[in-house]
Amino acid sequence: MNLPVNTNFAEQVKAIPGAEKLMMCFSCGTCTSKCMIQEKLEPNYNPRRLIRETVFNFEETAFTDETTWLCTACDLCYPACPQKIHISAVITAVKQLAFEQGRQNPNQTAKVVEATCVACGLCESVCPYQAIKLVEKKVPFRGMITVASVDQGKCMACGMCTAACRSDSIRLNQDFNDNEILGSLWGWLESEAA
Amino acid sequence: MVDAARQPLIEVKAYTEVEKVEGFVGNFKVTLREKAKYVRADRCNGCAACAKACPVEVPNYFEMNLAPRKAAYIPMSQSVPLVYNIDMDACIHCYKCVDACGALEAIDFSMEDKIIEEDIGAIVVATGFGHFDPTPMTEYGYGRFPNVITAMEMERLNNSAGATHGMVIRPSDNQRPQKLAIINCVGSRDKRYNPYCSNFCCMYAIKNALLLKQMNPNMDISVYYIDIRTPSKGYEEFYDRAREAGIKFIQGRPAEITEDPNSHQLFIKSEDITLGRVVEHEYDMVMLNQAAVPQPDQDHMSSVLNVAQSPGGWFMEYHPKLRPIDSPTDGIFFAGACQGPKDIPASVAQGSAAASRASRILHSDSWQIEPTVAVVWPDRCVSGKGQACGICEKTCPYGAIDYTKGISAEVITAKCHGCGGCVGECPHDAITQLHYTDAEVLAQIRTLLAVEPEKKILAFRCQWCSYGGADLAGTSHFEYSANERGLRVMCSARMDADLIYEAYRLGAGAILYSGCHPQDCHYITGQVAGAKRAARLEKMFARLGISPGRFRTEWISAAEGDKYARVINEMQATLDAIPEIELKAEIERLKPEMVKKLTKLNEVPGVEEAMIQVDFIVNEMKSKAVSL
Amino acid sequence: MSEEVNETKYVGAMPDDEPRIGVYVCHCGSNIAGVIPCDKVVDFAGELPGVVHAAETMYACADSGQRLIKEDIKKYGLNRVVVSACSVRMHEPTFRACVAEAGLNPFLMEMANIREQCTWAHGHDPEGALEKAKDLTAAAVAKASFLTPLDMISVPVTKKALVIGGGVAGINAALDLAEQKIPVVLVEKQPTIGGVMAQLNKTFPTMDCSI
Repeated sequence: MNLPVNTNFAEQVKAIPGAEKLMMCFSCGTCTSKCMIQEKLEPNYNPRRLIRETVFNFEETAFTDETTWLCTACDLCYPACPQKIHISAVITAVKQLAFEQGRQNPNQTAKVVEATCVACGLCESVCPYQAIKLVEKKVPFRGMITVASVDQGKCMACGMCTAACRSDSIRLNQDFNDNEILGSLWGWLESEAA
Repeated sequence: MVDAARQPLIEVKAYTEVEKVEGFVGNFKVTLREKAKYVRADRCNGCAACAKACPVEVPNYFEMNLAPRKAAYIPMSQSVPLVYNIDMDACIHCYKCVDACGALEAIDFSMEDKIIEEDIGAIVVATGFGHFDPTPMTEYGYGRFPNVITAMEMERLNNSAGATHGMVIRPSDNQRPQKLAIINCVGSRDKRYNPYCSNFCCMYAIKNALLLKQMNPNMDISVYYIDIRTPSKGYEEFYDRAREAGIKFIQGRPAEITEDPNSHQLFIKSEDITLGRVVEHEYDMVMLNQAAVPQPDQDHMSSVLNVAQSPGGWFMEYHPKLRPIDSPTDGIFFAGACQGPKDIPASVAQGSAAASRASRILHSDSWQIEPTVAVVWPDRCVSGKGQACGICEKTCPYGAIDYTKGISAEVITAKCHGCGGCVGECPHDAITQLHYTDAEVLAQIRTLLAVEPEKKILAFRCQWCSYGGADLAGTSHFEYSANERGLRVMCSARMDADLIYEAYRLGAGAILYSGCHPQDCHYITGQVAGAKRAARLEKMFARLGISPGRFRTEWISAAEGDKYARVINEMQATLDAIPEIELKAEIERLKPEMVKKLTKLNEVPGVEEAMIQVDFIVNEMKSKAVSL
Repeated sequence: MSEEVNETKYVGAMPDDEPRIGVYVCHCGSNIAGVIPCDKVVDFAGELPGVVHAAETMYACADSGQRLIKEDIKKYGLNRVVVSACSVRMHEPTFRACVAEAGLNPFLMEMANIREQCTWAHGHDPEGALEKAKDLTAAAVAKASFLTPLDMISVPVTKKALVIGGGVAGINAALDLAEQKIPVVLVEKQPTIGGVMAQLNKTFPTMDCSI
């Protein structure tokens, strides 16, 4: 099977700061065996494989690999890597290129409710991934105003912004909104009590 | 071992250290310290009565501290020489050993370290390697989990002469392990510890796996590896044997080992790369195949022998392919793992090779050394005219200059190693170095700067390190600016300030002053003299307002090709950043300053006539450049 | 200063003959010639004052290259030789021996390193490399003009070897030397010789005993 190849892909990834050491990978698998996402969440998750796909210019495969989208940049693998490759930076670089080509993050990310956002900047200050910025934007019925904006490439859907927001103007999807969480919490407490 | 002890021409001096090495090929003077054993070698018959009587027990280094020895001991029963030793750090002075020794009277508590001087023609350095201590790799739990052991510990466990008489047991409960893992590349191929491959550990893992399998055919053994390297005769077949015997090889480097604190069972989670998924296994015991590292005292030996170290700390050979046995110092040779990790066949072969290289010298009645020595022109030396000076004598690292006030200094040719430090330092230009005279070096400087000097980076390099570094940059195809013009002298100590002034007078764009790192200097302290001068020059040039970066001092070893290329490229960038008009103005402004400093250069014998001739060459080059 | 003083007193200051220099520019296969046109370096060097003959050679270090140099020394009466080729760390001894065989003092040969320190390092800049090769050759010609003949210094040899380290390599070196009737001092810092090898059980790939 011939996989679609962008012959310049590895070079493009390498050019993004943090991903310089991409080509040093000798496929030892330490990152994969260190990874908590692989262990707890997705057995098919594999940073080593993603690096290999990138090295061999398999752009499409890299963009659709779940590894690209699930990495939380926790950097457990980075100090374990014997080649000192900043693996999460490589993954972030792949993700960045995916967005530049107009790809969407297949996983949920935080969404700003622009109709109510007051641009207080709380969400920006709590975001551990520096995914939120205040931008000037034309918003329906409100005109040109400053609102928070989420970088889909950086957002890991942790929910810190949602918890911090005082006007409930930044949210994850319905599974993880306040009502859902409170509901399941009450449900759990009631079952414990019974 | 026993052969060496029996060979009458070999004098085995165990428990002895090399303190000092002086002299030169054919004529080394070596100072040895024979440490006190407190047992007289001429009387001890190795009967072990003292050890039996000794009440003190301490861990035995030879058994990787898995077994005890007495304070009166030999490391192993086949020790050569078979002479007991009393460890004074452990001894409690009960003197039971003296009673046990009885009429032999071999034990002598009054013994002291003995300093021995030997005249030696050639030296073979075979100081070997040390073992990487995996304790800092906390992910593998060595030192925390009792059942994680190192390869050398395993070696003493499965050896019938070892701590357990060959019975492999788990340290936590003394049970025999049924399921065992070997992890390769522990501290090797790991940029956090040692980037290199330790050469023999793959084979070593296979050997131990096979040995254990022979002892207990039911044992389940897995080897975790990144790559299996079997690049010698019979090695791949050995790997075949291991797979045939049922040893499992898992491609995948485990990120960590975890332990059940109650049972002390170990768990390894790793990616099985060939399967493409993560697997977890439970083991009774894990052996870490630790990296080979330089001896802990390798740095010290390096300075005693005055030989350089490659990155990683191993001794550096003269040329990696063409002269792998020779050190850069004539008459000193390397054998075995001190030069880099090696297995037994390679070490044996290198031992023979080093013997053969050394015997070329030792079979000759005399040996030829380079005549690039220093020569004093007596009528120029101010000491002959009654002035006190002696700078040359102070500079010389070898004591090769005879200075007495009132008499012209004299070079003792046999002691001179030809660094040229005295030439660089002599304030009266009364000394020259054959083959590197001022006239010869100036001729090179003038021709190299004949055309468009402001674009050139003139690089002064010592023969042993920086010239080699520039060579390595080329060999490795690390590209750097083609405006570099290199110049070779023997040592940075020879890089006379006058030569630098002359280069600036001629309008050089930038000058690199480079030599060995201080600990690598081929001439003991030559680099120190060079570095002092460079620091002086740097200060002066700063005062004169030379743009920063136009004069640069760098210490570049023969192993640092990348650094050489980087430094030259940085210097090119510095030059590029100065607008051409400004650079030319600065050069013109400096010329009179340099002329002021160079008043004495033409007085140096030979220089004036030589420069007339060089100008013919320079003019020819200039006219050609114009006609282009 | 007078010529007399120069000759009698100032050892090594100036040679007492007019230079007749031969320049040899090595192609080293394509290692040098693949980046720069060697004939241009030859043309350039041939016109430098003091040079009486300049030539290209495919491999200066090969028999044919060395023969050419030796024949030319006789043919053109050369009294200095410049070889523009590789590193002195590689072939200085080769070419010193070569000119010595033709009756020239070995120290009247000078090398210009136009491979390791030129074409190999400036593959991206052939023009710069050519200019540099010319300059390096000219510098070698200039230095060669003032080379004076030197004799190697003969030193006596103490017929005794020191082997530092009693592991497998050291023991083997000591035995080989002793078997050639050379006395050896074998120094070991531990109380017994044997090194790491003595601590091993069996050894690969033949599984024989280590001691």
